[in-house]
Amino acid sequence: MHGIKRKNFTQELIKQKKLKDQAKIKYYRELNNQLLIAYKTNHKYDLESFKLTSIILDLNPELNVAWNFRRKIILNYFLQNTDSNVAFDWNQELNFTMLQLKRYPKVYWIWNHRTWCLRYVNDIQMWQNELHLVDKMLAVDARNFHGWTYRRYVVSQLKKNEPSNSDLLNETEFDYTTVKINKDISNFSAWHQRASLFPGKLSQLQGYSAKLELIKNEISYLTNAIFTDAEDQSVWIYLKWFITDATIVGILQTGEGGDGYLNVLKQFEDSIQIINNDEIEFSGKDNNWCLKILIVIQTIFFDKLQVEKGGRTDDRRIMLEKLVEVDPLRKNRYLYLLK
Amino acid sequence: MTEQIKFYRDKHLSFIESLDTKTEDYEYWLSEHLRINGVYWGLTALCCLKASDKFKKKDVIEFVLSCWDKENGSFAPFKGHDAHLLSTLSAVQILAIYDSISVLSPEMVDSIVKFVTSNQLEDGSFQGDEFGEVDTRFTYNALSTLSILGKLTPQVVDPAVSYIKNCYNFDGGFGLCPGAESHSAQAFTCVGALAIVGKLEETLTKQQLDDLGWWLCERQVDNGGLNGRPSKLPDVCYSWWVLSTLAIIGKLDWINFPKLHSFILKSQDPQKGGISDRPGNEVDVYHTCFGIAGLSLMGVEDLEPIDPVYCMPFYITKKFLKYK
Repeated sequence: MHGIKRKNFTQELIKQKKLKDQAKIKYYRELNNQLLIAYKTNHKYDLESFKLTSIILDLNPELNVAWNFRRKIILNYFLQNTDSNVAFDWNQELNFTMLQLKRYPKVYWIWNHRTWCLRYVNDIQMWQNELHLVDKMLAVDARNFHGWTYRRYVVSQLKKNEPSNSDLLNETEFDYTTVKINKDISNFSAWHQRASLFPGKLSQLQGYSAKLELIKNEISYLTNAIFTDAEDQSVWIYLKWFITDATIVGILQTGEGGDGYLNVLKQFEDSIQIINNDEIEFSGKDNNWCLKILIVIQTIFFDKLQVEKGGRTDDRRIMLEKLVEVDPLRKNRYLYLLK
Repeated sequence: MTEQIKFYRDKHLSFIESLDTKTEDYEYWLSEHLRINGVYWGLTALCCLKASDKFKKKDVIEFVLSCWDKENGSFAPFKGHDAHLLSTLSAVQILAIYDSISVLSPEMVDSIVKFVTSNQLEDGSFQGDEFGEVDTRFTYNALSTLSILGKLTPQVVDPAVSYIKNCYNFDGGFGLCPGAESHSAQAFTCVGALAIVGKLEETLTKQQLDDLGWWLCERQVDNGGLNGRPSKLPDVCYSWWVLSTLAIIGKLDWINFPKLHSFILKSQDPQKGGISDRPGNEVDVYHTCFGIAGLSLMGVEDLEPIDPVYCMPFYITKKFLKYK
């Protein structure tokens, strides 16, 4: 049970609930027995059994055995029947699961059933409809991971159906993450998706300067994001990925006489220091995510790039000691890194 | 501990004992699809509370055997339902806890192994049953089941490990399939599965393990609870998914124990016992099990030590055949 408030029932209320439940239990158990007998004992694959699964799934969408029976009826009855009067209406089936998903957007079995159906339908118009549906689902709950997983699946199927459209789809999906992030900068589901799409978007571009321009645009988008909300970890996790991703680093390293990557890191370091200084001025304390990412940047400087220190100091130990103070929940991680 | 809240050990015992008597509640009948999982959660919680005798062993084993699905050749969550990898693991875990794997005939064991391996797909992933849902939860179910039965083979393990590797994300976490967002429960299923087959170190680099530890310890929020993903609410069940994974990779202390301890205690129902997802919510056996198992991992409240890899007491899992 997730997110159900505890009620402190009085004895009287418990009595009333039990009385009310009696009738519901009787009805549900009768249907349940009918279903299991029709399925397991009689293998009764017909319209009547199909309707029975609809009724019971309406009461309990978690009843996996009813979904299984329903699928077997579709396979062994509807799809075997050559009489066009009983031709199976997949749209109606999709509609049934859509109504269920609206009521229960987090039930795995319903998503599973929908995916199962689509394998049998598989036409381009339908996949496009699915993309609209998942748009609506993610508009209601922008973090529903079933929705995001389903979205990736739908897009992969659209690409399979029309490979020539792949680049365009990558483009629109990337823009979709921008829309979601602009609406809520803490939507890590969207940041995650952005990180998986960005390298593909880079490889689509021809020529060094076009690629570099895309990277520069992303840098300013990110810089803007950390200035907007320096408390939220989503953007920082993305930033950490962005400055270490092999494709991005490779492109940056070939520019500016080999210093392109170093310059970008320095640029981020400066921005993060400004944000942290503002925070110190405002609250008297360091921003812990600023420190965490500054440490990542310094680790790249000193351990990976082995830049000449010339005037630059390695502050990692000092920052870790500060983190022990400002982020005590994770104190032991910092002590581990200090060792 | 500065918190004044106590651990309601006895109330939790009576809550768990009472679970199978709630036949007057409509919800009891709606949850048959999870019954065998529920028995495993209840029994595991009782083991942690050092009171496994509160369930009648004979009745429980009889119930487990009643869930055998002849047609599919493995365990369903309830009599007359269909076999699934989720219910198969719960059944095998319950029998192992009772030291009763031997109630399964050699034919039944072979049949379970066949059911599990026949649900492995070409890319090494597992579907939960014949209907094609793929999830790293099922990878864990499969490898844990085969491990408990002593039936792991390289033919199953090697592709499974390479699939898990593909579910590792840039942020250090794991998703339910390649490309899916990191989720704490998936960190457990992936890392737990790797640990079961002894391939954690050869699959993940030291840097990747450090990043995973970082991602996991960032799940702790100010009120002490742990969440499943960035910017989500904390939930007691992540006391297990996050903490067990940290334990497996040797970084258990990367979160703050007293604060998590207090969050779990605040999520107890002081009247009827049991633990909920977060303070003030309705309790259930799932959160009761994972809350108590989390407390056991932290070594508080005098509980039976639990194995973070199998989510069963060490005194049981030490008997399992190690896969090499």
